[in-house]
Amino acid sequence: MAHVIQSAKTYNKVLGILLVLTVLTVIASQIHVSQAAHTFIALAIASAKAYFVASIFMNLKHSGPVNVGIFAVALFFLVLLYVISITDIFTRVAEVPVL
Amino acid sequence: MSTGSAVATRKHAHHFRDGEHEFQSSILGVWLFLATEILMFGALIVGYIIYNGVYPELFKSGADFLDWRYGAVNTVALLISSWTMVMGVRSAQTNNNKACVKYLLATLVFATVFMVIKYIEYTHKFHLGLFPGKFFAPVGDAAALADVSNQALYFSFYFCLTGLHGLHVLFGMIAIVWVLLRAKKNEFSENYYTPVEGVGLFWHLVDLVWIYLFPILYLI
Repeated sequence: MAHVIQSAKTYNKVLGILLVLTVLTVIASQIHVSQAAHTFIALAIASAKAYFVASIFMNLKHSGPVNVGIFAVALFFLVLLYVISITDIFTRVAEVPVL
Repeated sequence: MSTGSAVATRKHAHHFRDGEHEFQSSILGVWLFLATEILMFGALIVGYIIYNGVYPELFKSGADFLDWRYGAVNTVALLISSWTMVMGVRSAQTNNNKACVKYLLATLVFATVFMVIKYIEYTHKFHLGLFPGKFFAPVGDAAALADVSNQALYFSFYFCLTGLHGLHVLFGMIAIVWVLLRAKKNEFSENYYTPVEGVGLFWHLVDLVWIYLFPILYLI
């Protein structure tokens, strides 16, 4: 089978990057910024880590479009769930009964 | 396909055109399964983030009973286990079953480290009466939490997210033992390593979920 076999060096490098990003996320959590900024920074670093795991360790980078598509569709619906839920919950107005 | 005597050969199942067809179909199936996993964990994480936004004080007082150092050690353990897993897959791809067995064993060791730390964390919370839902009955150092209204909500999320993830680690370990035994029998080669690849994908997803759970639960 003509599958792409990544070099051990690539895997070592990715592990190094993931460990550095883990240290970074801990450091970032100690900085005094707003709660929203904390959440954003933490999720951004987590997403960077997720990119390396998915593309290199899970080999999505060399996978066919179908596997990448399945992953993308799952993420799309997740984002849809998140966006629709927060736009609903955080824009609600407390109703005062008229009766 | 190579037919060298040192390389294990295997005939593909009759309903597939060839070995490649079998491999691609199996991996497609694994990805479909992973998509359902992403949506299941994703929905729980979305729920956590939303409730965290609605009741920030309640989540803050709950998170005070989590030690980020345990979470950090567990993150490192899972990241290294992902690396050993991918090296195990690579060993199978390069006809090195011996190395494959060693890497899979190492993956199991790091997975065990993760579960032991989870056990320590859980027992500490149980001693303090920090249970999910209606079982929530804080005592000792956590007694003050009894006065916080709806505090059990935080621990319901905590146990649901980490418990479900822990179960996945456990099932992943069982699957790793299965491929490890097969690697020991020299079943894998450059021509056939589908089970190692499939279990590897599942294991990386378990890691992927934890990559998000660690900052969300322990750091934010």
